[in-house]
Order: sequence, then structure tokens, then C-alpha cells
Amino acid sequence: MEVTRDPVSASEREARIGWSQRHPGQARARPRIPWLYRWTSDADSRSSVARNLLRGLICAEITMALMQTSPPGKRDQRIRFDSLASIATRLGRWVPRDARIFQILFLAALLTTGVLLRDLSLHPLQMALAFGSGLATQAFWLRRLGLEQKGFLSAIVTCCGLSLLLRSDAMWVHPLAAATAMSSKFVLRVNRKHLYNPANLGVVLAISLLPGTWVSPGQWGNDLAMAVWVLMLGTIVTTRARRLDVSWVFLGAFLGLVALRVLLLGQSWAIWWHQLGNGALLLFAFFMISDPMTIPDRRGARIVYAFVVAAGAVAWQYLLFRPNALIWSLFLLTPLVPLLDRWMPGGRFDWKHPAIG
Amino acid sequence: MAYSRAVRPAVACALCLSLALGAQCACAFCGLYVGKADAKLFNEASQVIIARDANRTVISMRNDFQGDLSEFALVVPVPAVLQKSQIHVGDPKIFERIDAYSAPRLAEYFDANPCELDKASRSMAANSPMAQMAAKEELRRDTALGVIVEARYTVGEYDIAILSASESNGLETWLRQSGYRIPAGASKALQPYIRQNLKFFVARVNLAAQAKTGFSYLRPLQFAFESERFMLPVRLGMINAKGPQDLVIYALSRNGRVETTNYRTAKLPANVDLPTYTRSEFAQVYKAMFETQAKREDFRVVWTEYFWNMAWCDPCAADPLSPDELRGAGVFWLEGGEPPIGATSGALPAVSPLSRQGAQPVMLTRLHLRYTPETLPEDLMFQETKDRQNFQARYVLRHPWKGDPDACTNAPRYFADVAKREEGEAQALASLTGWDVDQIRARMSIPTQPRSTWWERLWK
Repeated sequence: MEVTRDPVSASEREARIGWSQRHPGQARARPRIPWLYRWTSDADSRSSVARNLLRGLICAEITMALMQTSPPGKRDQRIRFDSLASIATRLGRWVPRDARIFQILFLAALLTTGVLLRDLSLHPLQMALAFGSGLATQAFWLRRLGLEQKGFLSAIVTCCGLSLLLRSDAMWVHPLAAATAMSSKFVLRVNRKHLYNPANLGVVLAISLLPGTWVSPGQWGNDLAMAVWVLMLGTIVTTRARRLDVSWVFLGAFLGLVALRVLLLGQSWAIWWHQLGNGALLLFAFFMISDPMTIPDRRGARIVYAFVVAAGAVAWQYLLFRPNALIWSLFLLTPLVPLLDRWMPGGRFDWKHPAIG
Repeated sequence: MAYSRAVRPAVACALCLSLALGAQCACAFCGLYVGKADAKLFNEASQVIIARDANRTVISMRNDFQGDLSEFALVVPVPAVLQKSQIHVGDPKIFERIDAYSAPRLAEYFDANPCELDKASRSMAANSPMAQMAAKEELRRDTALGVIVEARYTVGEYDIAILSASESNGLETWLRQSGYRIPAGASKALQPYIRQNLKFFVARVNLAAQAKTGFSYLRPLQFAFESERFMLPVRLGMINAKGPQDLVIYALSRNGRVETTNYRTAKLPANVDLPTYTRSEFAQVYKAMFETQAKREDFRVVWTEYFWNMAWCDPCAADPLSPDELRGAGVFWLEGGEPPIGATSGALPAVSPLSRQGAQPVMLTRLHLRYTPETLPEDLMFQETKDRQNFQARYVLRHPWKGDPDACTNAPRYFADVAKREEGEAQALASLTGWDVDQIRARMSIPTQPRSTWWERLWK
């Protein structure tokens, strides 16, 4: 129920009272950007170290994003006038063309944030075992099938995804899930393309079959600060991989359907904002459904697919009232990909030449 | 809360706390249980017990209504029209028992004589980290308003009506005409529930029946139903909310820990060493600590205070609930009772190693949240995870050995360690509660530490 609202939120009031009591007579300087304020105001937080690390990362992202948007032909001019752009361009030579490098960096940053700030209840050994097992499984299959030793970047991305999502009381769950996920890439193949997103398959199999294993969909909380920066990181990764359409169409469709529900039920719009700020939703949109190898090749088909997965997730969450709607919807609707590829064929994605497709 | 009161009680529960001296725990290293900080500590904390397995749910709601009983009313959205047999009036003691059992607790240890330790063999020293281990209404009128009274019952001291409505304004008018003092604007909060085809469970006190019970208080209302929704409709209770409210949820499940899926669930900082002077004021310490932690997270986190198999505890703040008490709390899957859901459809029933040993497969998750209408925009949705790792909000007191600093060669080093440990305890308490560290040091009679940075030393 909406009541008359003070323009200043309760938490902000609390924060102000706390400050004035601790520092009587002193005015508090506040940055203009509210989410940045949230990151910086809480000095007595558990780990200001991690927050500084994050701010550093955000700055690095902005620099990289600027670099990506500047057309190559104009780079030389910028060097003369803008020393910052010059440094960025020089650094740019060292920026790898493979989007997975960025993905790994961003997922690693999220893991760090999660472990330090969000109490993800993830044991470091679970992570180490997941990585060891995932990489070993990749090497094993390549050797067995007599293939070129590559694809380790994808394995790392999958292991990051599993560590971010899967929670377990036992040590053996993460490596087993990682091995299963990596093996699925070599075993479950349709039309010379692996069928399932390995992390998605690993998580679904683990939570349905293994004891003491679960996924905490609420673990990222719903504060918008986090949402903003995950959105930013995700945009960079998907732009580099030229598969931005899926993420944005999915987000648009999902949030559109949630908005429709809010309108139909006459709920408060605060619920929509609450869903928008859901870290798990943004992570899924930019790091899971965007995997170029497990989505349809043609743009039109990808858009249809994103709509269907979003509708499936909304149905799972609001009609069946079951948790983990996103990963279940993706898992159950993945078999549509080869069908869509058959009806609407398109160019195959290549990590080294992401512009094609 | 899961309900809205027609009139909010003017009398708040007095800040009271009993510090019970419990029996020593069977386990050697868990220390002596010396106190707890139960839900009574938090003014007007609503308490709800949810027992759930598969799609079967039993919800018990504690009524601590303190005003004129004729003014009490409760409106709860429920997924279906409830039969009389689905509604039950429970025993208020069950809330006291479950609260006492799961309350945050304080355990204490006494240091051994360091000189004795000196004499002990070096292999014993290898075991010493073990000792230091820190161990969670008329028909026409009704039809005109779009309100259908699906059923009416009198259960215990309550007159209950199950309503279905097609219009929120109609429901608000119906409730008002029927003598319920519903706050203005309630229709906006009722609308989403009506449009989801939920029914409304409306209860008020039948004064004649209440007089017959002989109780001066209201007993908890319990209702059992089947629904896929594992949720608590807390938004309705916020119509007349003033300031932050506290809600304590005791979730009883068969397999694992319960958490919220649309809000972050976090564990409170626990197993922290506190200064020994807090022994007599643990209640205040815990209250300040919970407030500080909740504020730090902007009231956007649901806190886990306890998760344990109901068969045992360590240390025990109160004895575990007996099978009869568990049934009283709504647990319907105990041995000799219902067969496991799904057993007939061929699915394997979950059998824990503990249940084979005769222990009851009942897990208790105690969730505590402080919220405002802004921080809780959506009703609480839950899931039962497969997590079985025990957790308790347990705090530790370590009493130093009281002896002569020159008693033996080990003694001076021991007292230096104690000084370091006490400083750590002061800082831990200051960080957890937001209290001034120097005041804590003064209470502990330990020296004030020099300011750590040059600017602090400059502007002290």
C-alpha cells in the first residue's frame, strides 16, 4: 500500500541522522550520482577494499567502452588532442579481439564482488576444483577426439558461471557439474554445434540430481547500483561478440511481461523496479542467454528465441510459482535452437571473427 | 505482516527479556549456554510459523493484540476457500517454545590455567585449536458489492468468514459495513490479490466464545492448504505501517534451509567473541547488533538467525520441540503421520541419515527481517533449498584465567595474549553494534588504544 512519501527515503534519513550524530555541525558532501553515493557512503562496511577494487574496474570499463566507440580512422587525431584517449588507444593494441577474455574478466570481478560483499557462501576450494575439473575435461575430450587443443577460454567462462550460480554443502558437486557441463559440449551436439549452454546444463542437472545442491536466485539482492554496473559490463561483452540483440530483446520481453502483469493486477510499479534491479536477471541476460554458440545463427531466429525464453520464464515464475525461472526456461527451451536454425539458417558464429553472423 | 490489524495496539510489548541459565550442553567445546535474545526483544515483532512440504502448507500466526478484543480483526489472502476443518486454533506456547529454541544465543568458556597447559605434553597443544574453535455479512448487499461470503465458521474464539471479491472497492466497503475498521486506501492494496483470484480469510473475535475459553489472550490461528505458492502476503500489513517493522518467520521444512527468492537472504555475523561484561546485557547487544546490520544493508536483507535439524541443538537455548509440539506447530509429515508426498507416484521419498537413526526429519529456519514499505515492494517468496549446513547466531564469551602473572614462564605470554584478545573483542563489539569503542574499552577496564592515524591523533 502506498502511503504519503517523504521525498527522502527512510534509509537516507537514517544515514543522515547517523552522520550528524557522529559529526555534529559538519555538512556531508554527497556525490551527484546516487548509486555512486551508495558505493562510497558506507565507510564502515565490511570490505571497503573490494569496493575500491570495483570502482577501479568501473573506471577501466568506461575507458574501454570509449575506446570501442571511437572509429579507428579518427584515433590518430585524438592522440594529438587528448592524452587520455592516447593512452587508451595504446592500451587498445593490447586488448584482445576475443570477447571471452572480457567475459572472463567480468565474471571474475563478479565472483570477487560476490564472495567479498555478498556472502555467496562459496568455498575457494569449490571454485578451484570446478576450474581444475572443467579444464581437465576439456583437455581430455580434445585429446580423445584428436582435436586441436583450444576452447579453454569457453571452459573458464563455464566454470565462472557454475561458481557464480551453484551452491553446495559438498566439495565434489562443483567439479562434477563442471565435468558434466564440459562433456556436454562434445557429446550433446546437433548440426555440428553443441546444444546446451554448458553452465546452464551443469546447474540444472546438479540441482535436480545431486544432494545438498541449490541455487540462490536472491543472492545478488535488488539494489540498482549493482544492476547498473552489471548492465554496463554486459553491454561491452555482448557488443564485442555482436550478439547484443538476444540480451536486449530478452530483457525487454521479460520486463515487458512483468510490466503487463503489474498493470493487469493493479500492483505498485515498485514491483517492476524491484525486478529490474535483480542482479540474477541481468547476469542471465548478459552472460548466459547471450552465449553465441547455443543460440540461433540468424538474427530473426534469435529474436524469436529470446521472446520465447522470456515468456517461458514469466510462466514458470508467475503461473507455476517455481523458483529459478530463468535457468529452467532456458534449459527447457534450448531444443528449439536446432529447429530455429533449420527453419531460418544463418552464418555460424566464430569467436575470432565476431562481426560475422 | 501477513495480516492487517483494524486498530494497531497502543501498548507496545515491554522490552523484556529473560536470561535463563540453561543446563550444560553435552558437547564439551560448545561452552555453557548462558543467555538468549528472543523475539520479545523486538517491539511488535510479528511471528509466523510456516510448515511446508511439497505443495502442502500450514501457516500459524501469533496474535499479540494488546487492545480491546472487540477491535481485533485479521485479513489474510489465501489461495482457496478454506473448509472449517482446515482452520485450527493453536496453542500460543508453541511460539514461545520455537522462539526460545531458535533464539540467538550466548555461550561462555573459561580459560584453563596456562601454567597447567605448560606442563601438559606438546601433543596436547596440537589439540588446542579445537578448544578455540567457534562452533544459526446480507446476500443482496454483498452481491451488489461484488463480495461473496464463501463460508462462515466459528473456530475457537474466532468468527471467520472466507470471502471472494471481484472488486477491491466493494471488498473495502463490505469490510467497513461489516464493522471492520479498514484503513482508508486499503482497496489499492487488496486489488492485486483479488485479481490473482485469491480468497480472503477474515477473522474477528467472538467475545462470547472467547469468554468461554477462559484465556485472557488470543490463541494463534492456523490454517492448512495446498498451493504451489510458497509465499507470505506481507504487503497488506503495510497499509497502516508506521516506521520499520519486524517480522520473524519460523519455516519448518523436511529437507533443507528455507530462503527468500526475491530478496537477498544473508546470515547474521555469528560466532564472534564478545567482551565478558556483555553477559548480563546480551539482549541489548543483540538488539543493537541486529539494528546496525539491518540498517547497513538498507533493510533490504532477510536475515537467517538459525537453521538446524529440530532433533538437536548445540548449545541448546531450549530443549528441542517434542513430536507433539512439532505437530502443534503444523508439521504434518512426522513418522506415523502422513506418508511422504510423491511416495505413491513412484518418486523416492527423501530419507536423511538422521531420520534412519530415529530423529525427526524437520528443519527449522528462523528468518528475521526489518522492513519499511519502500524496502519490501513485493510479497515474500520462498524456496526450500537442499542446504543442510547448520547455522546459529551464537556469540562467545571467553573468561580469562585469574591467576598470578608471574606464576610460571607461560603466564606473562598468556596475559599478553589475553590483552590482545580483549582488544579484538572490544573492536568486534564496536563494529557489530556501532557503539563507541572507547566506551566499550572503559566498560572492559582495558586501556584505550592510541589513535591509529596521524589525523586522528591531531583532531582527537
